[in-house]
Amino acid sequence: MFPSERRSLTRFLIIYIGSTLLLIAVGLAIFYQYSFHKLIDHQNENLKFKTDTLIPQLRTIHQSSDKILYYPVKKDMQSAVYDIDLNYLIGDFKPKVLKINEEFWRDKEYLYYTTNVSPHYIGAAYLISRTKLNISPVIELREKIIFFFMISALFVSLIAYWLGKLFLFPMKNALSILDNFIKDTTHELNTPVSTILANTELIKDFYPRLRESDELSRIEIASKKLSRIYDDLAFLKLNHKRHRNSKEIDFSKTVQERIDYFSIMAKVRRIELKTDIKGKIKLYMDMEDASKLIDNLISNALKYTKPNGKVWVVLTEKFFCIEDNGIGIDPKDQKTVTKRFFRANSSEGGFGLGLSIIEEIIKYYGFKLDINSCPDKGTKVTVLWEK
Amino acid sequence: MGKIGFLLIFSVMFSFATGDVLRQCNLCHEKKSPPFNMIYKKYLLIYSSKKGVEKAMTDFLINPTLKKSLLPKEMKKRFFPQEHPKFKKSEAKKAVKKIVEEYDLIKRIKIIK
Repeated sequence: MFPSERRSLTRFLIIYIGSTLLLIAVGLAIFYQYSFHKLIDHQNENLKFKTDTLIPQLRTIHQSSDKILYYPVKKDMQSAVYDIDLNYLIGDFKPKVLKINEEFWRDKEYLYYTTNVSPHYIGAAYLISRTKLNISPVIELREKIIFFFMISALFVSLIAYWLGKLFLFPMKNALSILDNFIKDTTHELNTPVSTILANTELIKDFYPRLRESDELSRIEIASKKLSRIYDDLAFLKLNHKRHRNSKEIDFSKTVQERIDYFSIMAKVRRIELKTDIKGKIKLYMDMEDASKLIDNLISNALKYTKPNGKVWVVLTEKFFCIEDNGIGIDPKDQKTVTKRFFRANSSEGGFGLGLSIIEEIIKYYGFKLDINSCPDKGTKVTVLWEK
Repeated sequence: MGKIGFLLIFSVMFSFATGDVLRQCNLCHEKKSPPFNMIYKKYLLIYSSKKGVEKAMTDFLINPTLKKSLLPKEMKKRFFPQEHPKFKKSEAKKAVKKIVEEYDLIKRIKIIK
């Protein structure tokens, strides 16, 4: 799976599953509230029905002339009688809280019902009754809803994954074709470029008079350019498979070698290449990575500097800096300059891989990259060794 | 002449009556007029609280009128005396308190769980 494909799939899954589950959760919450109130209402109605049967019994007590009277005690229900001034008169319980203005209310354990008594038998103005809140249907309802939500989540996740794969298939296909194309092109470039470079060297040996010829120099520069493109593509394609052989290298020597390598190109483009290498700088890194880092920085500086311009290469114990007085980078592009396939000027050659490769190497070794650029004045790229 | 005699008897009775008001009242209320337990229940039915009952009964005894009586319309003609004795406020309160205490319904109710 390509990194971009994985990223897109993850984002799609988060958005799709998140929004769908949110919608389901809202629906279930509404359903739960409705069902919960329905269950409570049913219990309230039962309580009301039982309480209403108490009033005729209060009337009987009121009218009775017996010396001893008996308060009507009901199974599964308790009641209390209050007069019009809210004085407790009698009952088989005494509520801790009185809510005379609410017909039904509840606490954690009980459901309460208040009814007005008129006429006021035995002085009762309010009859308050309570019954145990039957929570088991509510728990059952909650369990069902949670179960349904889990099943929905599983189902939605499967559908989302399948849909994601389905939608990303054309992109994956295109990326795969492109990937294979680059792989094949890279492979096909290697042999002819190597042949041209080898034969250029042979021509120089066989015909010394052609050593200073402009035509041969141009062939050599063009071949080296092609060779670098091949190297860059191969680096990006095989980077994850490549084994880095990190060891202590003489970075100053490598810089000097690469400057010599680019001197012909600088000469042809009439660019002055100035160097300032302070001492022997030793670094612990892979030689190929070091060459790639130097090559890409010098190559970029030469590529985007106008003829008769200048490029300064400075190497110290703290940093490696390449500065040019070339075309510079537009401020709006400065943040995306290290992205793959970015090119400051499309009229120049290359695929825009240079700074992307530099960033990868810098990230791997824990160096720091600092880019300062001003359009039409030049660019200064500094690699700081500090970690 | 009969009216004068009736009022005279009541005046004498209430001038001595401080602690045993109801016994004098019972002379009528046990025979001709409705008994106190019935009256109390009637007041309770309408006024609900002891405080309300006491106030309404006291008001009636201070100034007993046909309008204030809680007797049903038909019974008013039959039972309400033409001259119901009037009480002083303190006497009326005392008498009413005694009625409320003696005929309290709640005291008679037992709860068997």
